[in-house]
Amino acid sequence: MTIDFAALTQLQPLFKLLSSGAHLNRLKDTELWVELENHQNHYEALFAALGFVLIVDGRGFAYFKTELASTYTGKLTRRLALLLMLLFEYQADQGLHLFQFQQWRLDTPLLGKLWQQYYALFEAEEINSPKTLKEILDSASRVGFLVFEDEVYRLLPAVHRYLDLFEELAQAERPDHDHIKDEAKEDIL
Amino acid sequence: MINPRSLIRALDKHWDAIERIVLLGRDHIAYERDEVLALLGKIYLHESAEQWVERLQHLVNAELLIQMSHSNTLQLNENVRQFVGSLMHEHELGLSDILKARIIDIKTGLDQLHQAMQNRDMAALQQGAVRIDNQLRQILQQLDQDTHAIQDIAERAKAADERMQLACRYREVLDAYDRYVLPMTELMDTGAGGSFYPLLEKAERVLETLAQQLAIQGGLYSHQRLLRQIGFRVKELRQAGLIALKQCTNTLMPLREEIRRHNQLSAAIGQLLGEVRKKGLRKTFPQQSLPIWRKERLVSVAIGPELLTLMEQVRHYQPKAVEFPELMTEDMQIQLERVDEEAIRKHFYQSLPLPDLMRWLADHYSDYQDITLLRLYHTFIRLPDISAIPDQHETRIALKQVAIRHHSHALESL
Repeated sequence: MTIDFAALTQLQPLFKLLSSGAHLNRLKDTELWVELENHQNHYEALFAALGFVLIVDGRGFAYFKTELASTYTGKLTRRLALLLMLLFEYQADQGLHLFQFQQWRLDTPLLGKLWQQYYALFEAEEINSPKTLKEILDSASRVGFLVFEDEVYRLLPAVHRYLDLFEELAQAERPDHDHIKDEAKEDIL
Repeated sequence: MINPRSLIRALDKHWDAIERIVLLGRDHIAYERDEVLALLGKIYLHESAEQWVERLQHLVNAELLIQMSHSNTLQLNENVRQFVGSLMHEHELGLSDILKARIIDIKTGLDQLHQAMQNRDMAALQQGAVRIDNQLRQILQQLDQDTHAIQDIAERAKAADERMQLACRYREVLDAYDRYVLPMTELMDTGAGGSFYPLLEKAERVLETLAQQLAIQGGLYSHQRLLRQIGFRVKELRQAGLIALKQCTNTLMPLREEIRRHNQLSAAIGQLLGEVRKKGLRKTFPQQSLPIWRKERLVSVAIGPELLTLMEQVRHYQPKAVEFPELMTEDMQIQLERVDEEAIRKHFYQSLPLPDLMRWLADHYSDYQDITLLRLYHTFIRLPDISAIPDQHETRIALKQVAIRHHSHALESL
């Protein structure tokens, strides 16, 4: 496959963003996303030749896959997973649609409420104040899971990576789930 | 009769199996031998059938499993079930009536304390105090366990298949709310209707008064301390009761009012959070499964030493030799010498006025080191009662080791 470098006009900014570990989000980096979509095959081939695995998810985000977590990212990703779970749990309890998460405004009062309601779980993870919650969100913003605008955080499509994991883990935890469903179907029949 | 040590050792050895059996206890009362063997087979995959039988025998011998009366079926030792259950936060929801009964018992205990104080019966005082403390601790424990049980119920309802009918899925939740949270709310009403807070407030007051009385009338320090410790526990309980009730309400309300959204994702999250609560985050998420991303690293490229050597050889490079000066080993230290400054000063004042101070010093005191002469020079031109005027012309004078060029001062007294 020949790659026409002249056509890949956004190669440099795209590579800079992705190789820094950040997630490319359709809604935030529209220009880069369109460019990536138009020449996806070329970019994939080029990055693969350089030793990077480009994952492009149709729900609107892309990133370089890696297997090695540093201790810092390991800690951050676990804390972020907890924070996201509790956020979604809280919002579900408020009766909000979970898959419209991009419209949620995560502001200080909301973080305060999260902290109040779930401080026991946070403290078990050494997250000892609402301020630490903000720090986690700030770090996550730097790698493209959230965006911070006008004093509020908003979730970006890349959060789907966590949501997929939640469903997958929960599914794995109940191997008899399908079995029960089948039984239920039989009962109905 | 159970031997505690062997029981604990067996518990450690067969923990995985016991953990499972406790979890199964939600739906089962007792187990056939074959059922337990099948379970062991699932947990200890690498062991042979004989080893499973051996394990089962060991469990029975250590009395972790005991036979039910009138049959061969096995059940978990009740002590073990409670202990392991509380470690794993697996609790059945308690009865709010039990809390009520305990609170009434605290009332009785307080009366007993009063009586004992009046009779100056210190043994009875101690007994009463311990009795109250015991009830307080039990209430605290029950509140904690009930909170976990309520969360468990809520998590089960949340994690249940989202296609199930709400009425069916929420049966347990509604039941728990009516049976537990409502009576608790009544009990803990801070207004006139509740009995929990008024009683605790009264208990706090009584304990404080008693401790004061004891301090005034004179009593053993240990008795005073006992009363104060219970006072602290009462305060703790007031706080804990409020938190527990709030948490239970927060957990159940969205379900009861049917506000909560249900889909596969919320069910999954509900289930995972339950595990986080019981086992911790680290065990719930295996490290490899969490999303990770590249950590930005600055990469710089430099020529390796091998390549440098090769280039040297190709270009016949000879490094330029630079001779470094030898280390000076001469004794550079300043020698100490005795200077009778007072005498020199006297002599100096007698010799005033002086047209050339440096010359005068060199003439009379050339035995001293150069540095001493220079110091004296500077001391003298700064004397407050001396006027020192530098010469217009530069002069040169050779001292012992150095020669100096300077505008020597002419001195005269003011």
